[in-house]
Formats: sequence, C-alpha cells, structure tokens
Amino acid sequence: MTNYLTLSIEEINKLLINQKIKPIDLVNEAFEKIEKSDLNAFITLNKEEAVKLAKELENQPVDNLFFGIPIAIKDNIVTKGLLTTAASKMLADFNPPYDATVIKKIKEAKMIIIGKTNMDEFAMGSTGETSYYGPTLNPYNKSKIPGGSSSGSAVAVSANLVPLAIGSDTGGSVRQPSALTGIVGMKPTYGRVSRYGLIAFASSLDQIGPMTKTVTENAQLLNLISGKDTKDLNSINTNDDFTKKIGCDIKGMKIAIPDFYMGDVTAPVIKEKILEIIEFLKNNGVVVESVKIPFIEHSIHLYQVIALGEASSNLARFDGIRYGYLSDNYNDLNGLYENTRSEGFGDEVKRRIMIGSYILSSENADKYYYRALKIRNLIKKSFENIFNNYDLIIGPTTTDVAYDLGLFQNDTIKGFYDDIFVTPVNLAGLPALSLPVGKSLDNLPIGLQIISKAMDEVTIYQLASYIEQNFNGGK
Amino acid sequence: MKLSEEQVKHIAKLAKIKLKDNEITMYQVTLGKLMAEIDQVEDIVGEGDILISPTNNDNQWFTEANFQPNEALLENAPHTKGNYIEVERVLND
Amino acid sequence: MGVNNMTYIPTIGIEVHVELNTQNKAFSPTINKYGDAANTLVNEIDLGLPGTLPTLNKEMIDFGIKAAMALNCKINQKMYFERKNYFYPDNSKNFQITQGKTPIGYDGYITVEVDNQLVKVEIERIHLEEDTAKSIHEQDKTYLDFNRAGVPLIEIVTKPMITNSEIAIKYLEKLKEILLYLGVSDVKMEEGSMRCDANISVSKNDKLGIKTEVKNIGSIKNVGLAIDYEIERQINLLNNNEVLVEETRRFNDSNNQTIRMRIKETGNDYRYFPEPDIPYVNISDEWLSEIKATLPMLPDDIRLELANKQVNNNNIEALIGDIDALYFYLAIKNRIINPVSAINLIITDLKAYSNNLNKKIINLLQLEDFIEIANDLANKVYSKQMVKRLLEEIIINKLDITDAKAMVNQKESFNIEEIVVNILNNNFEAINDYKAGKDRALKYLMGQVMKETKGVADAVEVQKVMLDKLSKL
Repeated sequence: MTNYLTLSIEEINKLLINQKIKPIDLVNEAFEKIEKSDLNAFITLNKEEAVKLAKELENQPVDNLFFGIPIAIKDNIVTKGLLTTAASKMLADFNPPYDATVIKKIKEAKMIIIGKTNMDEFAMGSTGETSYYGPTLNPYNKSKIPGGSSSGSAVAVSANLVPLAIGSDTGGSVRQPSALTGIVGMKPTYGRVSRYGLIAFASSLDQIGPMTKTVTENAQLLNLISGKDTKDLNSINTNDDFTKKIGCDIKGMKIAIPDFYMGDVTAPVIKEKILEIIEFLKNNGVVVESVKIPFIEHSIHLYQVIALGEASSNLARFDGIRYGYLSDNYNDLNGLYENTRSEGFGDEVKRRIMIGSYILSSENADKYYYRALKIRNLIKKSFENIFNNYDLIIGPTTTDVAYDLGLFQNDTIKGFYDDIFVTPVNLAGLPALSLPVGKSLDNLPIGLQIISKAMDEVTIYQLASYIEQNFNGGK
Repeated sequence: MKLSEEQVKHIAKLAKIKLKDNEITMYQVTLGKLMAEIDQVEDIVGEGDILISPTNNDNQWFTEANFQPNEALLENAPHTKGNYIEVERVLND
Repeated sequence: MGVNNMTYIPTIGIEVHVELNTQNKAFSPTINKYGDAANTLVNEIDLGLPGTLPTLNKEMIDFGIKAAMALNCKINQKMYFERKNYFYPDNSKNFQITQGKTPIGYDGYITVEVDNQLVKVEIERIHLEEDTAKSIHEQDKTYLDFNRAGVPLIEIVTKPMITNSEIAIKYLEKLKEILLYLGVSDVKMEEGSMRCDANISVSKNDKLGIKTEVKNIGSIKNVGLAIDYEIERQINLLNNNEVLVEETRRFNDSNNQTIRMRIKETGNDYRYFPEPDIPYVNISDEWLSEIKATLPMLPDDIRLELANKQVNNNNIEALIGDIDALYFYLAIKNRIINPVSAINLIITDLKAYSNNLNKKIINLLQLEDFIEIANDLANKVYSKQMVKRLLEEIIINKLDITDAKAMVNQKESFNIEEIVVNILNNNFEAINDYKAGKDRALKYLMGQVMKETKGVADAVEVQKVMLDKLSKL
C-alpha cells in the first residue's frame, strides 16, 4: 500500500504536477486504508463519484494547490447527491438537492470528496458516542473517546485516511477532537466561513473549520473555504491570506493566559505541558502573563441557554413531512409529529431539545435567554479588553486527555463541563486553534488552544507554526 | 429545585416529543438542576443591546435574486399527490 | 333587550395581514407570484431543508417603511426579526420569521369619517413577517403548496378601541385604499392578499371583557356583519349570566353568524426569540427620506386638494375610485389650468376610450397632448365639441396633435357671425316669436346655427352673437 496521504498537500501537489502520481492513486489509497480501518470514521463513502472524478482529472492541468486532493466532510454539511445524515436516523435517507457553499468551493478547486464523516448526532456531544452509526474510535487508543462532535473528521486525518477534513464547531467540536487525536483544528472567526448548507445546531455559535495535520495546510484550507456569501447574512468579507505570517518570528509578542484555564479543573498532565510551553515562549522573547477575564466563568451556563435555545428551534423542522424519517406509527397529525421525532432522534438530541424548549418557554425567554444575550455581550467585551493589551490568549484546549468510552453517557450537563475551555470562544465569536503539543505518558495527545481577537487568524497561525516547528516537548 | 410533572409535559408538548414515565421524572430533576445553576447568573446586570450574533454586520440583504426552479426539491418528501405534499389533516381547522 | 344593550360597550380590534407584491419572497430569492402550478415557486429555503438559511429582501423593508409612513406610524429605526415557534404542516421550518419587540411601525392611525364625524382609528403596530404554505383539505388529508410559503406580509394591528362595526368597515376600506395607492399590495380579499381577523368583546365597565377572535372573514362587508353578530351573541350570553370563554370562531356567510372553531388554548407558547440568522436592520434618516420622497399623494389629501379646486364630490370619488384615471391625473395636475374640466374629460371621454379599446388611459395618448388640449379647452381656444373631435382623431385615427388640430380646424373655418346673420335672415317668424317673448324661438334659432355648423360651433359663443344680433333688430 502506498503512503502518499501522509505527505503534505504541497508535496502531493508537486507529485501530481510532475505526473509522478495521478489523482486515482490518492483515491485508491484512501479507500484501501478506510476499508482496512476499524475506527468507524465514515458514515458514507463516495467511492463511485470519487473514482469517476479522479479519472476525469487525469486529463486536466493541475491548476491549484488542492487539485485532486482527497478530503473528508463532516456529515452535517450538505452535499448534493451524496447522503447527508447528521449521524441521525432522522436523516438516514436524506439525499440533498443542493450543495453547501463550502462544498461548492471545494468542488471548484477540484478536490475529491472521499466521504462523509461520523459525528455526534446533529453535532450534539463531545465524545463521538451519540452517533446513530456507532462511536468513532481514537486511533491512539481504541478504548478512549476521540472527542466530538467532529469525531470522524478528526480521526480520518489523525489516522492518515485522508490528508484534510472539515468539521464544525459550536462549543468546541473542531478543537476538542483535534486535541484528543493530535491534529490541528481551527474554528475561524464567526462569519469567516459561510454556514449555508451546514445543518444548524446553534445558529449564532456554529462555524465550519479546517482539520489538518499541519498548521500550514490548515491555513491553506481556510483560504479555500472562507469568504463572504450572500446566502449567509452573518458572513463577513475576507481578503486575508492566512499563511501570510507563517514562518515569522514571534519575538516581542505579548500573550495572556487566563487564570480560568489553569485552575483545579485542569488535569496535572495538561498543566505541566502548558507550563513547558510558557517556558519555551519566554525563552523565545515572548511576554507571557496571567490575566483574569471577567464573566468567563459563566460561559457554561450561557452556552447552555443560548445554544440549546437556538437548537430547539433549529431542530423543529424535522417532522418527516417534507423530507427525512417518517414514523409508520400514527393515527393523526399530532401522533405523526411526536412519533416521528421520538423515534427519529437519539436520546441526547431529545434531551437538548427539551432543555432548549424549556429555556425559551413563557417567562423563561425574557428571564434567561435575553439576559444571556446581554451577558454574552459582556463576555465579548471582556475578551476585547484583553486583546487591547495582548496579541493572543493561550491555554489548554481540554481539561484532560481522552477518557474512556462509555464514561459520561446520559449526563448532558456534565458533558458541557468538558468543553469549559472552548465554549467561551464561540460565545465571543473569536477564532481559536488547537495545536498538538505533546502526549501524556499513555501516549494520548495534548492540545494547546490559541485564541486571537476577531479576524486575526493570521497571528494565530504565526504562533502555532512557530511552536510546531520549534517546540520539541515530546511530540 | 424540581419541576412539576405538568411543567415537563407542557414542554414535551411544545417540542413534540413523546416521553416515557421515567423520562418525565428525569426531566423534572435535570431541568430543575439546570435552572438552579443558571439562576446564579441572574444577579449580573446586563447592559445595553442584546447580542443577536457576534458579528458587527448590519443591513445585510440580497442584491441579486437568483432563483432556479429545482425539481429535485420534492424528491425527499415521503407522501406526495401530483404536485402537492400530502400530510395528515389538522383536527380542528 | 334595549336597556341592557345600552350598558354594554363593545371593544373591537382589527388585525389585517397584507401580502406585499415585492419581486421576491421575504427571506428567500424565490419569485413572488400568484397562481403558478403548486410547488413550482419554491427553493430549498422555502421548504425548510436542513442547512438552509434565510436571506433578506430589502424591497420588503422599503414597502414596510412606506406603509408605516402612510399610516402615520413611528418607525423603529433599529429593528430585528424574531422566530415564532410552533408546529404546523404549512410552516416549513416549524417556526415563522416575524417581528415581536421591534415592529417596523407603531403608534400610528387612520382617520375615517362616520356620521359626519371624524374618528381616529389607532394603530398599535405594523410588522413584517413571512406567509405560510397554502393548505387544501380533502377528507382526512391535507395537501400543501409551498408557493405561498415565505411571501412577505405586513400585519397591521389596531389598538382595541373601535366601538362599532361601521367604524371597523370604514377603517378597512380606507386601509385598503391607502395600501393600494402606495402600490405595495393589490389588497384583494378574494385572492387572499388581504386577510382580516376581528377581536370582539363587550364590557359594562373599564375592564375589557373576554374576547372572541373571528377569523377567515371573506369580505369587508362580512367583517361588519361578523362584528354585529358577535356583539349581540356575547350580550345575550352575558344577560343570561353565562360565562364567556376566549375562543376562535369563523364567519358563516350563508347565515351571517359566527361559529366556534376552537377554544383558545392557554399557554400558546410561541417561545419568541431574536432570529440569529438575520442581523440588525438600521434604518437611517437618509433611508427614511428616500422612501418619503417616493410616497404618492394619498387619497384623502387628493380629496382635499380637489375640493379646494372646486371639483364636485361625485367627480372626486369617480377619479379616486379609478387608479388608472387617478394616476393619469396626478401625472398632469401641476400643468392643468382648469382641473374641473380636465377631470371631466378624463373620467368621461378618456375613460370611455379606455374601456372600449381595453387600454390603460396612460396608453391612449401622450401626456403633453392631453395637457395641451385640456388647456385649450380651459382657454376656450376650442369648444367642448371640438375637443371631443380632437381626441377622436388622436386616439382612434392616431393622428399627431398638429395634424389633428389642422383636421378639426378645417371643419371650423366658418364665421359664427356670418352664419347667425344668415339664419336670422331666413327665419323672420322665429325672430318675431322671440320678440314676443317665446324662449322656444331662441332655442330654435340656436338649433339652426348648430345644425349649420354640424354641432361644432361653441354654443356659448353662438348664443352671445345671436343675442347681440337680435337685440339690434
């Protein structure tokens, strides 16, 4: 079996240009590896179309960096003609009649979509275990969670089944599985990447993000998928080249570490690694200081109120009438709704819909939801104040390394505490990246989170690349 | 703090989700716990505008309307009759 | 009956939904049209497919601002949309995008005249929202057509302060007239582009009574009938010491009664929250000025202006009642010397041509030409009869105005004085009759002159000359 997919996309691109390999070689390698893999990273494979496209591309000039490169897509991003299930029984047979905007960009660049990756159902979860199609396994240790909800995308890249993938991040769903599987995952500034075609979980928090092995590839993929889209009114204009500052020196940077990130909830193994990094940065001319971020400790509650409130509304459309799963067990319209939704949705999804519905009901909306929106504004401002004095914020991505499968099922609220470091970023709409910086003694990956002010992914990539190239803390 | 059975059943009705008896009890506790935690946040006075979404965008609308009819749109509907989508009738309209 | 009725005061509130005739739907780029084959004017957004997001139609906001201004509302210059969450098959996302806390317009009014008194009907709010799909019920199934799903609506809600059906009817008629004139909707109740619901309650004191909502009323007249029936029904029940419940009823037009549809469920919990997918809309003062500049003159202002110009009531109403005629008049009004005669020409002669040729008035002839002719009439350069001939040459025979005038003038190259003298010389008996006081003789002589000129001479002029000559005989 060949091993081209472990190379960087620049290297693969050179091989294609020099005709040392053809796109079909990459496609065949991907499917061979996937078929041999027991990690359950994919829900649907796009074999026929991928092979067909690879053959067509043979006669075309290699006109851009991504030409012919295989990519995996999280299964909550709509792909025309290719089943899109959101890992739910509710959409098990859903064949979309349109492409998400990011998919259009990926197709325009002549990338080859290998398949749709496994995930927590409707992106609700952070362990990969709520999927209708069974859990995805962590390639570093198959008894541990890979993280979620972009579990399949993270694992597909981590296990070198594909060189690149895209996932979605609402409360850490790109960064957390990236940290637990040792890859680079970026959640861009809210609005950077069009959400048109991303099956909505929480509209004001969701973002699509690139998941790759290296920082440079991550920035390159972000270049490809970002851009203003009139179909997503919250998307923003972007003319950045995210690779711009990769390779630049970091001397003179000022970096903040929030106390919040280094308290008792953080496992010692993680703390140790962060302290090593701080040492490394200081030795490289960077100022690193502790800061307090007002209101950040309320993120978990705010996140629940806002995310679940929005989700309960976003998931109301699933009733089997216009598409999707329809129960065969009803006598009247009300029965149709209740049975379809109760049979079609998994337990975690139902739990979140219930919580979200409760939060928005009667006086609760004014009491909790509107208040949450105001406090959210305060958190955003808290971060902005930090960035008036610092270039970046760093800290751990997760509170611990990957834990055992089966540990935290059915306890929705406890699950949110796993994401305590990542959710504030979504609330504030800021960009953040998780960078693999080492392993625990059990060889489980540890991720460093780097956060910047809005629209400043370029600086994140600058620091991330520097650490990636120069920090040798047991990678 | 626990919710009443009626409160939970009311939510289930709003969400169109059928609950088993043990689930009702579970929600009484879970929702109660959640609200108790969130109540802690209540004392913060939030000032100013509500943040609908974290961008500074305003006045966004389409300038060119691109409409393409697409026959594939109805293909996912489980029950159709002619051009129409068929569904059970609502009881009292 | 009588005494008890007197002590009950009815309170009525009217809710109107109006479909805006924008090019596209409210939150999707789909074409906004009525009457196409089912489910052909839909895209993935209208069907609520997974992953879709609303976009925003600026034209809908422009129309909303126009309507709010015409209804004397204050405008919410920083507004956002909200989701109203409920499950229903005609609701493709199971939530409707609407406005709650920031309606585009609020605290407005329309003034109507009832029994020679001016009544100010207060408007609580007007807000923008999207329409639902159309449902056709057949036996135990419902058939859904999403062509209408997402069509933009404005909802106009009065304050609960209307006290009788007459005011309600006048309000609706005026509202319809204004919206039609703004050009924001074709307000046809028969086609569903204007829908009215009425909320009615009665009370003996300041506290509002239990209200009934009456829906699906097919015409403005029926709104009045429904209100009258409801008031009486409620009073009867209360007089019999029965307890009213809040309910929704529909109007039965075969017996003019209302029938219960359902009792209002307590806790109609719509869980409103701000629509996160649509950013704030900030309506600047410039934007407002731009819209204000496009507002056409509203019917009541036109009525006032025309009355001040001595146009009689019948003609005013005839003009206002005909949009085609009115727009034509508005286009020329600043250059017309005599509105009375010009309007007469429009609503009689031009209207007749318009009907016969099945053409809009504006397409019958050039504005410039009509202005010239109307002013010629006002200046007595041409008589009424000559003007009629001119119009015929221009509209039917398609002559240009110079040729038409030449044609008509040819037939006019006669000397009134000459003809009068001629007639008098041949009618001594009539002259004697006239001198003897028989008015009929004058008429006869006039008739002879008109006959001679084939009816084209200016009668007033002829009479002047005739009387002058007769006085010298």
